[in-house]
Amino acid sequence: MLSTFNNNTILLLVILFLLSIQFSYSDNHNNRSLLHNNADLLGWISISCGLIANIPFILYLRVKKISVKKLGGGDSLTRNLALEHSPILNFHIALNLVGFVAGLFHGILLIRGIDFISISLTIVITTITVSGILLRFAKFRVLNQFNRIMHSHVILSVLLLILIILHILIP
Amino acid sequence: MKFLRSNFILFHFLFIIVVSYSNQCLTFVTVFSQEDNKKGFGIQERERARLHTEDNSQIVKNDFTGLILIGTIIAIIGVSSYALYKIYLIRRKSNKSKVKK
Repeated sequence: MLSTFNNNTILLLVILFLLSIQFSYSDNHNNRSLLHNNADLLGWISISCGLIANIPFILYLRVKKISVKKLGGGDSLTRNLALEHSPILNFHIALNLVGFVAGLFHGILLIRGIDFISISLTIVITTITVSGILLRFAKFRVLNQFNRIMHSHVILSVLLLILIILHILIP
Repeated sequence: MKFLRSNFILFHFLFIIVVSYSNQCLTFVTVFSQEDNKKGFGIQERERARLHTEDNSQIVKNDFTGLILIGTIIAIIGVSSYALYKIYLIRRKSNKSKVKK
């Protein structure tokens, strides 16, 4: 059964393994204080990861689309851009997952300062991340179509941007 | 890469992941169920907690942020409904074309 595991399964296992890194709470008080005092920094790390992972990816997709439309599929530029899709997608997934985990810990550490904007932000980020993970790893066609629309819909992207700005501006 | 695909390595990976996540969950439950003075929260966190204790109804009173939450839920339900409708349209179109053939 397991011999049928492909590269995607191995990649998923490696990502899950990396996300299961343990935090030490019990042995050293300084470590705990350091983590709690830098909870805000985790939020900024999350935002930075999101910006670095998404802006180049969106630009790449736009350029690829324009080149296909203007130059056609046979042009060398279009073909070179198509070859770069896989590494750019992996970069986008990896950095966004790091940002998601940083944001998750930022939320857990500052759970007492929770408000409606934070809850909304959590809902939107989780929805987009889960749809993205399913889009990458799910095999069913209908599920892929659903996740593609959810993951790339402009309303959710704009909502996410507005919520991040409000989250920063309204402490 | 063939070595990575062996059953032993995959089971080993799965075992480590399951144990790590269980351990992580237990650690969180233990840490966050302790009393405040044992948690070692930072100054900023304590200040936020104090502010929320002073006005613990702040989260409910603020209509503006409440509306944002409602708007978010409506947006997500709307987008998922749109996605389902789009899938329904695609499937109906493909079924029609199959019947014509």
